[in-house]
Amino acid sequence: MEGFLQQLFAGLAMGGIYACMALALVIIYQATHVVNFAQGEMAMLSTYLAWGLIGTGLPYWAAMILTLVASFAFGALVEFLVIRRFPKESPLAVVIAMVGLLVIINSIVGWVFTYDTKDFYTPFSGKSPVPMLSSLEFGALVVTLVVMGLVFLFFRFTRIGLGMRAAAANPVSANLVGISVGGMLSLGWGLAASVGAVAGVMTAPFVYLDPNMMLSIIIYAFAGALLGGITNPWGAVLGGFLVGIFENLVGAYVVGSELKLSVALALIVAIVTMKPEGLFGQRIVNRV
Amino acid sequence: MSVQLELSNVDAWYGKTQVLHGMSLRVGDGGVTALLGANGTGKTTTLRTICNLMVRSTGTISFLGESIQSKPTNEIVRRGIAHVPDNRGTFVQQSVEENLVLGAYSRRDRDGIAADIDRVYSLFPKLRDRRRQQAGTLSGGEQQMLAIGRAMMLRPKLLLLDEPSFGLAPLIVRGIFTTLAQINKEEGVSVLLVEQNANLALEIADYAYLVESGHVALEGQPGDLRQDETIRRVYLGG
Amino acid sequence: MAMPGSGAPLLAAKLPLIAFACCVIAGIAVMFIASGYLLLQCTQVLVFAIAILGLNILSGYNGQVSLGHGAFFAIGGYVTAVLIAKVSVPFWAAVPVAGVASLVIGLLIGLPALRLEMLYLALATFSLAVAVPQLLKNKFVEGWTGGVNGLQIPGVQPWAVIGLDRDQTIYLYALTAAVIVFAMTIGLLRGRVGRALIAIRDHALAAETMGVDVRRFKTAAFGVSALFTGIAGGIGAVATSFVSPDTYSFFLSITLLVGAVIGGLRSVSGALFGAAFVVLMPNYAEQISQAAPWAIYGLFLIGFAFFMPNGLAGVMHSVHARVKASIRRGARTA
Repeated sequence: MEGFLQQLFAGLAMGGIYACMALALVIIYQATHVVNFAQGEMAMLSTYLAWGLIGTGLPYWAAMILTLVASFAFGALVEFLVIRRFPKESPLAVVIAMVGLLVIINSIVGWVFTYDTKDFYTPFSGKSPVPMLSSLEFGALVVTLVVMGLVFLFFRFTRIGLGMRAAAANPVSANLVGISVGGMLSLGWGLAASVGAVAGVMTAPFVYLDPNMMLSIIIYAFAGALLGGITNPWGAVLGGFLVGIFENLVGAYVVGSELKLSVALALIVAIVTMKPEGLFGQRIVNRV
Repeated sequence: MSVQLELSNVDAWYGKTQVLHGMSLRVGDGGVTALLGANGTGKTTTLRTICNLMVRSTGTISFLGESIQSKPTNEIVRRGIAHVPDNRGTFVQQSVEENLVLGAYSRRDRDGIAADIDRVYSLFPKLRDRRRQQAGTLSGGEQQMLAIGRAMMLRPKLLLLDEPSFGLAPLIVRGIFTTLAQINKEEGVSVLLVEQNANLALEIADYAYLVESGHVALEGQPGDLRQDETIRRVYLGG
Repeated sequence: MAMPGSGAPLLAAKLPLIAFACCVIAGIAVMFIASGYLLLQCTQVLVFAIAILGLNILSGYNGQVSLGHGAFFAIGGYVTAVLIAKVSVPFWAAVPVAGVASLVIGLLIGLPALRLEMLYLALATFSLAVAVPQLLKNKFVEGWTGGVNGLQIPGVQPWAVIGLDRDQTIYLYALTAAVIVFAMTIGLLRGRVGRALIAIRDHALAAETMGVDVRRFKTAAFGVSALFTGIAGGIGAVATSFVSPDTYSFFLSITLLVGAVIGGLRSVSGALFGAAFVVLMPNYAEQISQAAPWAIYGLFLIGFAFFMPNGLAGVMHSVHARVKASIRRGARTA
């Protein structure tokens, strides 16, 4: 029983990371109707930045804050320079462009930092304050929950958060009340990039830092976002946690840990073919 | 009455299709101006062109003496023009109150905003009952009230209204138009009103334009227009 | 006496055919001129040309985006390898069988894929691409696939009877396959199938009301696409003499996508240009750095996504159109 609980909680910890990435994906999807295939690589880039900052002797949390700010700027920049230049009528073009961005980031990071795996420092080590979770898992869970909580508060209770929700839901009306929709979109991408950066920094101590680190993580995040509903940010968060628990349990007891990614793939295929809107989302319908 | 908004020889296109051909009109400060005409003649396009929404335009558009032609929509709005589109444009997932708060997005005076929300509720008591309700669940009439209320939150100098009576029961429409007249008199907000229901529009208008094929075919005071043969036959039903 | 200009329009119409024939002749010539590494590279270009043509058929002509075509390449490669290594099938028979296996899987995927919005299809194929190496390594199929280490493919019997060595044999096989596949595609696209595909791509609903069986076409497109890319994978495996899971990583799917985009998603000849680019460019770019080819791929993806949806072949087509027009003009004024 204890083994099962441990697997469950371990899944919960990873689930927090998937939930963060899923949240980032859905924020962007809601704002700009784009699936950001490069989200994982952007998070990975942020993680390397954090690694570099920590390497210069900066305290962990200071490095984190700086990384978040830099990630925010980078995300806003990508929206402003790239996404905004594509007309809405060519979603395929944006998909290809995002894949291109993925490849560019991956290759530049690989070139600058090499493909060798690196250790990533974490303050969450030593004896765990709670049963069932290792120190690392506990840290990851707490941080991701806090970040997602802050995002929730931001959207729910701040003026800008309301403006962003409005701009995403109805850009025309948002313009009509004086909201600069373009500005809101950049903000959304910046926010998503920061949230993704948190996921990346929490992932690195688990899987060691290398340029391909986030490639699998983003698949789990896709699964979580799809499970919860790609149009619903909090559904996606729940989906991320569920995917974390599910893949960990299935990996531990059914197919073995080398096939966990295939489980995520099966989940994704099942969802898109049977219930694309997920548990809590709305069906995306292309009107004739 | 001084001129608040002036369009002069304005052409407008949706993509490659030209909809406005030399549109010219004026809205007086504090007055109610009506745009009449059949479907598809360019009335909605005129309102959109003023706000630079979804159209490409040439010509002169000036508001309070300054050109607003082709400026970004949210900038035009912040100068004091509130647009209530024909589909109401409510933020359906947000609550009634959140919609009103959004209406005041460009303002920073929290006390003023709170007072204005109260003012909207006193103009439209039904909205107060539903303040926490999701806007998408409101009836047509209530959504129209909310749309107007949200526009008022801007403290606009000019209110653009596109087909406020559309799809609403006559009694509700009466109520809305009474409130519109009230807003115009008490707050001095000018109104540019697009309405297919010519009778209704002429009742509260100080001046009216008949729009055909993207330009003004006829204009004048309501009294004169009512006498006109064409108008009587085509738009007033004899 | 024949009218002076009468030959010219005929010439203009036959231009593509002449170009095709020239390519085939050049292809055969290469076999005798090149050798060793260069010949292997040319074989790779042909392999990728077939694979990219497969992707073009699905994503370009049929509008069903696939970010995971590496999976079909892998199926073709692994089935071929298993047939040769474990069942002792001669290579020239193993490849078509692998192609058919790929075709079947393509049909099986194509049927449910019908209902997917472009975005969901992109997500699913992306995930497939990332998962392929893991699927190939897993313990359930290790016995056949060789797990992490992959499979060695035992020596290919050269066609000594016509005087070819091993490399030339594989090259000729690839060339033959390419000629068949390309000719088939051009032929199909010229006719009813081509028109139906364009109708479906541009407006599926309208196409359906005009009697086009959209479901059948789209599923068939998936199948044919998988067939071609599977065959390519098989030939590729034979050429490199082994298969391993990491050969078929996510980045292979990206390579195919880049090749398709560069050549032009809706172009048959583009597949050849794209293949030449993705096979030959890294040779030069890698001298700058290991990562350089990928950065270049990424830039091209973004650039082509934004600027030139018809790719290099689009330029060729407009050149061809201009040549055609000037031939006609020349004929008229003669």
